[in-house]
Amino acid sequence: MPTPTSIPVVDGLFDVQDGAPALVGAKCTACGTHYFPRRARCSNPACNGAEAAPVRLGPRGVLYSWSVQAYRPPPLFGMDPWAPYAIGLVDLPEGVRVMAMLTGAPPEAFQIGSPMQLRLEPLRVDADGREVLTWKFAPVAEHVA
Amino acid sequence: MAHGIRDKVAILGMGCSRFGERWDAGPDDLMVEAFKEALADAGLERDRIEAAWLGVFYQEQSTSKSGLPLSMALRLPNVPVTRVENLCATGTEALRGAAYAVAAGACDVALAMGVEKLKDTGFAGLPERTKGTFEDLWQPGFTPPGAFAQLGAAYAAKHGLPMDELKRAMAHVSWKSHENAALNPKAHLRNRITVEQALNAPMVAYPLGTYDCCGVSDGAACAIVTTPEIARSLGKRDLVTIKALQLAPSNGVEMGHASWDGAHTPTTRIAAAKAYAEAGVQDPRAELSLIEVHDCFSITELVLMEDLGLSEPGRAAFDVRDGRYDRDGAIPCQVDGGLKCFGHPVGASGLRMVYEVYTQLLGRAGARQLSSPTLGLTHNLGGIPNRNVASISILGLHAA
Repeated sequence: MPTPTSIPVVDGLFDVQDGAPALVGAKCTACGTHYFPRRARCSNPACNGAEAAPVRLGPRGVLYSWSVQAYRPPPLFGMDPWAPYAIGLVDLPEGVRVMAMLTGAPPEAFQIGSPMQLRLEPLRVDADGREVLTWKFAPVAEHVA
Repeated sequence: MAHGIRDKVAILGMGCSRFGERWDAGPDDLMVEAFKEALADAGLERDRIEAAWLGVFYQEQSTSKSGLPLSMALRLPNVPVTRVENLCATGTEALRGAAYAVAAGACDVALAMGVEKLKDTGFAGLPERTKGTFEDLWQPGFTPPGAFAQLGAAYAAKHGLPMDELKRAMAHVSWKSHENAALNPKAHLRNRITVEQALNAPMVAYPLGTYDCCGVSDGAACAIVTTPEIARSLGKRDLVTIKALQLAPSNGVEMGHASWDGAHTPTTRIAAAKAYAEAGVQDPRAELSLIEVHDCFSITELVLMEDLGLSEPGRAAFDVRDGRYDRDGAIPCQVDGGLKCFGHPVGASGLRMVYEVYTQLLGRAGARQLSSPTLGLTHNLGGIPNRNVASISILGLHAA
């Protein structure tokens, strides 16, 4: 959860309302196409609408596929300290499929098709001592293997 | 020379986004904006497009690499997309790819798209870092204004023209483009200026002041091309065909040898001679109804009038001030405002020029429409005066 001692890794990707985090995307006001990350207008070539309004996505989804990142990616990826982590594709109920780091279980323990829940977790601590928060998906508690 | 592609390729539809500081749109939005207009103009379904060429210069800022940004933005039906880049001639290179594919019979309908998204860098000029590792070593401290400004100094010296006379002609070039852009709803800079304003503007690189320089913009432009026969079968009556597409890159003589006078662009002269031959143009001054040239700087446009054979050597400054290239002159130049005022999204500029010629030839240019144009020329100069890529297209109404 962002606090005075934490900041988001990128502004506008997610927010927290009443203690609950959600991804912030956009939805075309004409054709209903959802986008993540958020964008200013619809770019569906088959749609004549131009406006895309911000919308909260998820926060639950279903794991579509996953893997474990076993080597440290090059900068600008800023995870520190670094350790191998799981990464996966999560289908959100709005029809958007997002790629995200996975958490809440050992890297090899994820199961395709299992329900996932958005979480905010620190990626690193910045020079001012603030936690830099990123968004991840974790298995919904009762489904952890 | 081979027969070339004269009249083998028709433009079925074109589109051009509004140019400017497009904070509301990413590169894919700009491509979609241009594409929707072109598709409606062509009267086709998207799935008729069999291959596409994408022109982007600053991939790092604009779109990322490869043909994917176009394929994905337009949701193309998995057809081949080739990404091209040739400095400021990039948009015309995309058109050359699509036109050659149609002329060769490799496909019936092809798309050429140019796009650039530069204003997000927060810098008014071109982003710095695309020069490669070694260019700084042998062209230390070079900027585009600094490089093109030297055309002005060399031109004035070669022709014995006092600099204040040349400056007044350069100011006329920019004044004219602002006048034209005021009539163009898609242009980036639509304000009118006076010649005195241009003359008194702050110096950027002597003798170029602020109004002697084009800025950069966000924007996209595209063309859907096919054969004249297919265009006719689709019900098109007024047809614009490609009469010539030529490209001439420097081979190193200008930058490494004192034989170049620094007051003209040899590549433009070579490309123009080939383009006139390919198009069957005998007398460009009499035959060209309008031209869109690479006015990255006012002095560039002025010098190009001689390189394209439209002004006698040493006479361009006088012809400009006589109004020969104004909208109501003998050979209107930059009727849409040019790079100077329509704007310069690098990868889109070549196709933007073609868009204006196409629009004028079909009589769709609204407040800035010329009287019965039949043949138009576009010209890009990618790079700097001593090291560049010159590309020329000639387009005309196709005899029924």
